[in-house]
Formats: sequence, C-alpha cells, structure tokens
Amino acid sequence: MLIADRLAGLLAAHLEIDPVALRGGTRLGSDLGVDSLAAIELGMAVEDEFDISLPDDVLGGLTTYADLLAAVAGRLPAGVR
Amino acid sequence: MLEAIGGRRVAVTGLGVVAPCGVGAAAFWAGLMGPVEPAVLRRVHGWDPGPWLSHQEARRLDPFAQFAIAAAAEAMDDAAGPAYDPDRCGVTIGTGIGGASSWEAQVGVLAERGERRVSPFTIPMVMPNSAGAAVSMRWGLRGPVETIATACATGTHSVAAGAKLVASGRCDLVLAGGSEATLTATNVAAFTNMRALSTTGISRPFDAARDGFCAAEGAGVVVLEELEAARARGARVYAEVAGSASTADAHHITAPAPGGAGAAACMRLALRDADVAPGDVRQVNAHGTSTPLNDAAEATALATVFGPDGPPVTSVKGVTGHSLGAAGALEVVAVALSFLHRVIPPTVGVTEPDPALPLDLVLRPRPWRPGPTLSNSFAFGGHNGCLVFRPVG
Repeated sequence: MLIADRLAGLLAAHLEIDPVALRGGTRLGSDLGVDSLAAIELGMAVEDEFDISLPDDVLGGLTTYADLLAAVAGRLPAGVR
Repeated sequence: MLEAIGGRRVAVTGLGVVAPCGVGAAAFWAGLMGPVEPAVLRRVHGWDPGPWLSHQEARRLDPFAQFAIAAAAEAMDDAAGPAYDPDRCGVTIGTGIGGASSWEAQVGVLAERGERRVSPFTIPMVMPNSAGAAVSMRWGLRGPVETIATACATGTHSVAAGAKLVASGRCDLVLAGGSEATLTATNVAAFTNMRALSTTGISRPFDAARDGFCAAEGAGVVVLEELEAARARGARVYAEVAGSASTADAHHITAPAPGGAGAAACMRLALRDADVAPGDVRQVNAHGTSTPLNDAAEATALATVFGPDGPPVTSVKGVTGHSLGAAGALEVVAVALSFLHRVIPPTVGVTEPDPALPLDLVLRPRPWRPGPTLSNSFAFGGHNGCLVFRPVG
C-alpha cells in the first residue's frame, strides 16, 4: 500500500475523519482539530504504524497533512513509497 | 443558613443521574423501588456516552467524567434552560477517586510498551477535577469550578458547597454533584482485601445479616438556583436546600468513631443550620452502606439525635450499591424525587432488620407528605456530611 494511503487511513481512524477529504494543504490544527496534546498522541500512532521516530522538533514543525506525509516518507528506508 | 447573604434561599431545579439501576431520573426512580439482582459490583451496564459525547470527546474523558457530563446534561435539560450570566455560574462536581481506569490502563502501557507510549492525555483524564472541568467547558460556565474529594461524602459535600455559592450570592446557578467509576481490577481487589465488600452480593442496609457494601459506579448532578429567581422564571422547584454541615471523626482512616459521635454531631449541626428541630424531620436518607460497622454507628447516631421514636429511615444503597463519591449526589436526587412523587423509597434487600438497631426502617415504598429531610454521608477518612432539604410550598 502507498505511504499516502496508509497515512490517510491512520488519520481517518485516529481522528475520525473522512480520508477522502484530506488534501495536502489540510491543516492539522485548524482543519483537523489536532491540538498540542493530540499531536503528540498522533505522532505516537504514526511512529507505531511506520516504525519510525518523529522527534518533537519535527512534530512541532508540521502544519499540514503534506508536511506530515513528507516527514514520514523522509524517514522510511529507500524503496518504500 | 448555608452562610446565606441577604436571605437568599437555594432551590433544586434540575436532576441528572447515571446509576446501575437506571440512567435518567425516571429510570432511576423506578429502579429504586426494587427488586434488584444480587451483585457485589454494580456497574452501569451497557454504558454508551454516544447521546452526550462524540466518540472523539469520549476517548479523552475517563468514564467518571463521561458520567458527570451525562448527568449534568440531564439536569440542565430537566431545569429547562435557565439563562444566567456565565461568570456567575459554577460547578461543584466531586469524585472519591478520579480517573482510575485511565490511570490503570496507562500503567499497563508503561509496563508493556515503555514510557514513550504513555498517553499525553493521561493526566487530564486522571485528575479528579477533570469531570468539573469538562462540565464547565461544555456549558461555558466561568464562575467557581471546584472539586471536593472526601471519599464517600464527596457528593454530599459537593452539593453543600454548591448551595453555599448560591446562598452567598456568588453564583446564580451551580451544577453540583458527584461522579465515580472506579471499579478497576486493582481497586476491586483492594476493596476485597479490605474485607469491605459483601460476600453475598446483597446490599441490605441495617439488616441483621448485612455483610459489607456492594461497590458501584455512577453520577448524580443537580441544578441549584436562587429560589426567587427560579420561581420568577417558572422553574419546577423540587426542594429547598435548607442547611448543611461537615465534621470529621479524627479517629480512624476507615472505621467510624465509637457511637457515631462525629456523625451525630454533623446531623445536629445540619439541622441547626436549617433551623429544623429534630422532631420536625420527616425522612432520613441514611448513608446505610450495609457494612456492620457503618450501619451500627449510624443507627446509634440517629438514636442520639432523634431519640427512641425517630423519623422514617431509608437507604437507597440496597439498590444503588455504594458508589463512593457519587453516592451522596445520587441520594440528593432520590430525596428530590421522594418530594416529587410523595413516596419514600424503600430499603431494598432487607429481609430481617437488625433488632439491635431500633429504627423506623422503610422497607416498602411509603407514601408521605414531604417534610424536612436529612441526607447523610459518612466517609473513609472520617469525613461526615449532612444536608437538610425542605419542600417549597
């Protein structure tokens, strides 16, 4: 499965949103209601799903869904997409 | 009375309840008539926060806070939309323990998955004030929002605290009560090892064969308003909160003081606060947990205060079990409903009243003409709380 599909599925389940409505520019905070504590919790779920590490400074710098997708993709081994 | 300023009186105008015998005041009242299946743990079976909370909201609230939201919503609906300045509206919803199941779940996460997976929502879900905070946020109430934790007396002390906020003029409306959801594996084992729980699963307050309490969960919340304002808006007034008192045994962490001395002192102070003579009391809603020690001490205290021919005494814990911090609040709801229905609910579960405890124990629903009523709570820690209610003509 594509990374984008896995991530969208995870967000849909975790945040109870419609994955079809996710756009690159969808804002995690104002559009999806992810506040500071929810971001930490979401980060844990993403780390578990992809077996990666998302340090706090990276997590804190994410604004949009596209930012999150890029952060995940950039931490996966080459060849995974 | 209630530290009132300017003769302000306090009305109960809305009732909300989540209990093993029923969710909502009507179901709760029907449940109080019994009978009830024996069960040492009395849970709110099939609990679904869906009518009050989105799934996402519910996920971030411990069940004890979910119960509080549901009970508060019921109470606000029942009070039929009082509109006051939110800066003059408060919340006094307490709990004996707080978010026990959330705590226990995260202890498991720490052990199994390590510290980096412990939820960032742990503290806001475990903290005892989370129920009051959630209620405050739901209705935008910006006055005092405070949490009392006096174990089994929490609900009673919380309603007293809320009534004082109204009586003093600080608040026009207070959502007051207690909530508890603490039947986790660890806590049930702890209660069991205290030898506090019934081994038969029958809660039978003041019965000769009483053998411990049945641990329960739930929440009770009432809307308190200033009486004249409530009347002016045409609210249904269930009862007046006429007085309250709080004392401590300073004796033992779980056992009552000999002869129920602290309890008797509390009852007398509450009656004096309400300006009600013992001989004018028409109902006692007892703490009546069904433990050998509590019921003996309470009966002795009642005899000390009321003499040999005391008023009718009932304990709804025969049905509800003992829901700790919610108990006193559930009993306030029971008293209010006894005024509405003009019936004293029975002490279910009793087959043989203890002959050593001479009480006029109400064993079947008893029609009455509502009059001054004393509601008692006595807690682990030696905390005593009493409330006095009076019908409003």
